[in-house]
Amino acid sequence: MERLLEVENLRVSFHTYAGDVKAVRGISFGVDKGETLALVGESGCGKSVTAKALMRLFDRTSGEILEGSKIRFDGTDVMALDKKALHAFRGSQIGMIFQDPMTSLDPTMTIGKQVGETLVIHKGISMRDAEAQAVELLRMVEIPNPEERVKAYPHQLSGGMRQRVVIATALACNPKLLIADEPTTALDVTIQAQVLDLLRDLKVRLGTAIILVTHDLGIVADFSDRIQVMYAGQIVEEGTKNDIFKRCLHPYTWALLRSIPQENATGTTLYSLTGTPPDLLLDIHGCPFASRCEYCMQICRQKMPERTECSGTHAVSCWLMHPMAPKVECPIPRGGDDARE
Amino acid sequence: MEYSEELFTIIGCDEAQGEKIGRPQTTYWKDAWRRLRQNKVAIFAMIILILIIFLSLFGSSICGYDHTKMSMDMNQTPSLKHWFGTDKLGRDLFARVFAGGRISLMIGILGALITTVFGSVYGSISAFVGGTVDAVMMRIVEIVSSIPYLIVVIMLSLMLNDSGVGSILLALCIVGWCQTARLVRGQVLQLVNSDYVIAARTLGVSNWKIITRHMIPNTMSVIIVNLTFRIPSYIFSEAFLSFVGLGISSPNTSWGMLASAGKETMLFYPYQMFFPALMIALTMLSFTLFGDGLRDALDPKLRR
Amino acid sequence: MPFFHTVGWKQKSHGFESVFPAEIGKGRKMIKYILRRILYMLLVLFIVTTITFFLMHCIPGDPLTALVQKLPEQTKINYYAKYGLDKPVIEQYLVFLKGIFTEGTLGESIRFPGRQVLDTIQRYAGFSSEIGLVAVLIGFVVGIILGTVSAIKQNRLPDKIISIIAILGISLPVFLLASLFQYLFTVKWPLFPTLGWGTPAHKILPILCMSFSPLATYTRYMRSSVLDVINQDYITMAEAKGMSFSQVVRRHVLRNSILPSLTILGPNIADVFTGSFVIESIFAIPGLGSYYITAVNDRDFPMIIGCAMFYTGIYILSLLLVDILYVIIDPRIRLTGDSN
Repeated sequence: MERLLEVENLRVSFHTYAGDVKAVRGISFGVDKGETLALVGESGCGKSVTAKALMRLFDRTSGEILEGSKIRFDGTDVMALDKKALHAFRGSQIGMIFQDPMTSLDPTMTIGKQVGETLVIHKGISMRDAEAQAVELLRMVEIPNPEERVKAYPHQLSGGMRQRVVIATALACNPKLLIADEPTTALDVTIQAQVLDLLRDLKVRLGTAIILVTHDLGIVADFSDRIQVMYAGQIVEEGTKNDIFKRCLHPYTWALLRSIPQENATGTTLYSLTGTPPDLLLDIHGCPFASRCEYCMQICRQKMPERTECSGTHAVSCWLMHPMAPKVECPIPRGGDDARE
Repeated sequence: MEYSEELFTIIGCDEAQGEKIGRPQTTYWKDAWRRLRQNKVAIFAMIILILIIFLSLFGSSICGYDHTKMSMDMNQTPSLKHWFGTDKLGRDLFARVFAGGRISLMIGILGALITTVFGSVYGSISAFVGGTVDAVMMRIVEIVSSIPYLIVVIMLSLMLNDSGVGSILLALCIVGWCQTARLVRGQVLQLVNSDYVIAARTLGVSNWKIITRHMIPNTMSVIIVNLTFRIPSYIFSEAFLSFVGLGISSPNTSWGMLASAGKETMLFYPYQMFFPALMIALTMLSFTLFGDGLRDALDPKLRR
Repeated sequence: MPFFHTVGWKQKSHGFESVFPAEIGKGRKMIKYILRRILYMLLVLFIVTTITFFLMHCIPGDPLTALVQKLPEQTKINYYAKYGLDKPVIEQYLVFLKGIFTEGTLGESIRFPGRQVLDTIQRYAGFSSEIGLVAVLIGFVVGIILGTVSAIKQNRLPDKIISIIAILGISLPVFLLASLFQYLFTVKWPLFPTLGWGTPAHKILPILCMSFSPLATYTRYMRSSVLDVINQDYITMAEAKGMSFSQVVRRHVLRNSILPSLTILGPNIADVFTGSFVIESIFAIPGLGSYYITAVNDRDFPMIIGCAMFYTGIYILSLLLVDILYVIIDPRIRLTGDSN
């Protein structure tokens, strides 16, 4: 597989009156062409910031991608792009879908114009032609009566329809990578399934690579080739779907998996992880998960664990991997856990 | 790298640290006061306002002149003897400016208070009762606010015809309450339908408690901020009316009247216009800046 | 213009009904809405006229008091009879209404016999609107620009300078500003003609003065709404599409953040109109405002009512125009009385 995206030591900080919030703390990962990668973690772990950083979408926020971060996309050094090149890059090479379709469309502009805008910018065609193409794009994302919908305003569409419009916008210029930032969180469960089906279908048809940002391990299992678990701005565990669902090694991943309701677990209490993630304003010296970890050891409080490669695809950052550490069994009953392959 | 054995014994999660909340808890008003104190501009404006109010109360005793007493020192430029100079009848301008300030400030503060209280009560009743009553009450507001306010004020000040503080205050209040009523109604409606009030209802919290615990504290900030912004607008209205000769008239005095008098002699004695004008501008400026600060302090979400 | 995409007949010919039930006949609904609003306007106008009429007769003194003081008793009575002032107030009111509905007249000035109120208003309102409307327009446009710049450069130097201008604009009363300008530019440095009317140069200072306060208001409104809008998801989305920031501002930010400023445009036009008499008196412009004040001081009843009706009409009309503009710009606004 050919590498499409290569991220190295990505660090993002937000400057606030209270100090710098270090939202992403030196993560490295890559995405192959046509591959689907899921970034999983609870809210505030830096997954959405990572997604935005790939397009350097911090123009007017206090966010800053720190010196030394490297983002390479299909031969382009994204960090080195000047303003103009960056604008040409966004939307044409990478498309993005946002969390809440209720707020990610301009309420005062017709659907057709909003979808067409991307084409006008990158292909230099007129708005009239772009709107004509927008009809085809809306058809592609399976919106009924696209010829009529292009003239509609966002408030006239349901949430699921709007998210389809957002997807159509993101895919307008046939980008090589689609970033989906919690694309189904704000939707009803039935609509979620439809949108995910659509994304999966489009991925196959268009061969687009996808980075799926989510807190929902349930949709990840169905959808992605590889999974990265993030915690407090760091990647704590990464691997293929099977690595994560069947052979996971990090206590945080265990906690996440245990929080998924199981079919055969009637009558038992659903596991819930206590505590809150660390304050991202602070420097974290040990393992960021230490304060909430059932298996926390002295060393976890003092030193950041190193990344340990378990196989060609599976890596984890945890002191439990150290040869001196006690052997801890995964607390999830293996039998009840099918990775839904 | 070598590590000692004991570093690898499991100690479990650190409950205390996991649940710790970073910042100390404070009450809403304490927190607002802290934010207000940090806003240097607002505090500076507050100090100026306090100073102006103080001088308005005690101005004539400080400079030692009565604001109505005439003398032979006519049209004197500012000097050590007469700090702001004198007018064409030889009256001390410092004393006159702050005697006028008493009236201007009184109209501003009283007017804002009366309309805010009335408008708040009207608005909350309208929102609480709802239905037909709400519709009728809001229609009334709509009609009253469709009348240009200067027309009403001019008509009323003519009708009452005594050009005193009372009549101008009444004239300003009759048209001024609509905006507050609308604002408070909107705020109360929003609160009544907010999830936490519905939650409180569902839990069986009494109406009285909902009003005192949720409604009043949550509308208070909006009302207070509105009040601070109303004061300068009333001071402006009074000054405006007095300036064109429809407001306060002799023997009373106000900033608008003094400015109007100063306007006549502006070409020869610009200072006679300058001081009352400065006071009007400074007061309005300070109230606006203070109001901005207060809004930011009371409603951090709106903070810019 | 989005509104015209959804005009009723057009939808019908394309079979739109089944797709957008909410959109059916928005054009027709718009016309109905406007008609209803105009009816409502007339009602308000009627109420204001009535109130003004009766209030006026509570004012001590009448238009003839000064005029007839030294005349013999019989002449006095004749005078009062001529203007109908000897009749009960109710009857006078009915006569007044009759005049409006049957002859379309607002009566004749008492102080200046022979002058029709309507003609007078027509003649002098022109001068007022020439400076008033231009001032509000300048204030609106410049305010929108300054507010946007201020928000985009938030907390940086341009923002600070603009904020200072804005705060001065809302705290400097217009009559003080006018006096100051007059002193500076006609006395100290005589760049402009002092008083009067006629040449374009005469209009510059009054317009400048009158536009300052609206300018400041719009700047403040615009700044806060732009700050609101640029933090919205759809702005980030637009940037993710690859638009440059200036494109985003032009295509998405302005349109969405101009709405709050629009709501105050109506009252503002009316305020400038009614408040124009100060400027007119300071710069000796023969506008309706100064005429109105004269009428008030003279107790010239027909003139007072005429002006009050005119000002109220302008006020309500500008509110209506702004509401219509709002519906055009913001497609989310659904017209009231909407049965869907």
